[in-house]
Amino acid sequence: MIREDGIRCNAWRRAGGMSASDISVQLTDNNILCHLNHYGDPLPATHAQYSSTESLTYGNISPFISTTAGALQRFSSPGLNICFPAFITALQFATANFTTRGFIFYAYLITLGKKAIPLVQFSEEVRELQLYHHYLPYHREGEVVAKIVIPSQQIEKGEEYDGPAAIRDLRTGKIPSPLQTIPNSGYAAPDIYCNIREIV
Amino acid sequence: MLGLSGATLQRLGDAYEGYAAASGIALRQEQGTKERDPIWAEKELLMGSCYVIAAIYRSLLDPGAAIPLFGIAAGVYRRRGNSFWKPLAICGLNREWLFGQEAGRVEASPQEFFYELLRQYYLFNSGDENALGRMLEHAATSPALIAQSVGNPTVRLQEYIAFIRGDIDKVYYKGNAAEDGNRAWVAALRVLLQRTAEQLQLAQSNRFQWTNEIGLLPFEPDILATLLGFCIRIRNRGEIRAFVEEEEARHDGSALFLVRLALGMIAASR
Repeated sequence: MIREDGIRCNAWRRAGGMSASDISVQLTDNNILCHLNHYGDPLPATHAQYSSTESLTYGNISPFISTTAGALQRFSSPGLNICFPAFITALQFATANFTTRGFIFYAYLITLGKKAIPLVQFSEEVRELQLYHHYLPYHREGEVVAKIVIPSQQIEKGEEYDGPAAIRDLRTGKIPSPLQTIPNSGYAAPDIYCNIREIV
Repeated sequence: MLGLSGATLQRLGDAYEGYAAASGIALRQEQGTKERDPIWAEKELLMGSCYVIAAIYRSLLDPGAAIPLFGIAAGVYRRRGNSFWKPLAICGLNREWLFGQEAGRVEASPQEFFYELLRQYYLFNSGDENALGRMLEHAATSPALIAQSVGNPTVRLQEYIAFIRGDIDKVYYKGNAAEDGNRAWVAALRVLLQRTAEQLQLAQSNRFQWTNEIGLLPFEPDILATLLGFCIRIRNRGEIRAFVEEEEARHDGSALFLVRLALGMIAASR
């Protein structure tokens, strides 16, 4: 996953692939709102991908990939005082609340500073109120949404954690160590592509 | 509790408390060299935040276990000059810190005014007798101020004022429970609990996060601190218990867990 395919969305994994036309059909305002606000809700019987034999949610068929979800940063906002550390949130997701093994991926995404839902190469800053004016009930999840696939070149490494061991470490006041770290030799660090010129 | 498993709440409490403790060790090693760095300050607040989250999870299982965690968090926010320390110190039942604080000028900011109001309400009858009265008087002549929403969940300041004034004024109706004024605090408390219930229902409607028990915050400390201000006075405890029974009879009890929590914390602190 890290060195070859990258991280693929659920829609891709379910269908076993997506054509260019599938992608353009899937990247819509409505689908991103379903991803954000109805991720765990079952598909209604009227939905094109509804299945009577399988219990599917909007999350199961989403062309989007949530990243950093739950990593709320809000000290700078007056009156908003509680902040979740990204590492613990990621660990909770990866290890099903410290009960299984799981991976945390370190990657970067490219955003445009504007809403660009049809453009697969740019991710969406969906919690940025200047860009997303819709009422989002679960606004507390700081989140950047990737589309279809996070290319392997943008993934720096993956770290595998053992959930029960991680909670044992935390109980003794220790930051958990990964069981293994898988570096990506094909990683393209963003610094060299950054278009901000340094002061000469 | 609230449909969350006890084992998960225990793990989450452990995780956030452990992460806070580990962050504290790392920060102490950098102290002196990086203390003035704004990133260091943010990291310290993040540590305080983890103590708050741990306290919230712990409180649902064992109200007494949450008190020292709220206290540690209050210390961190206080050190960083963030006035959120006041409701946290109330939740930590830390009268000493709340006392040893000069009443600052807070009229310009509704949020600062709110936190100071909570502090003075908690200390009412045990410190500067007139401080709370002065704040209520200022609020009575400042319609723009009390129309502002404060805290989390956001509630208009006037609802808090109505609740606090209702509590304080009821001593004048003592012995005459039939008078309307004796129960003015009940209407205001229903509004505060309604907001708490809405916040909880919103969290529960986030089906994926709620069923996986990730990133949850079933309540925040502001309304708990208000309830502690009410319940800390012995004369109010019988009335609040009667209120809980009444609300249960009305089948309107989704946020009553917070009242029980306040009573549980006070009982555990004795």
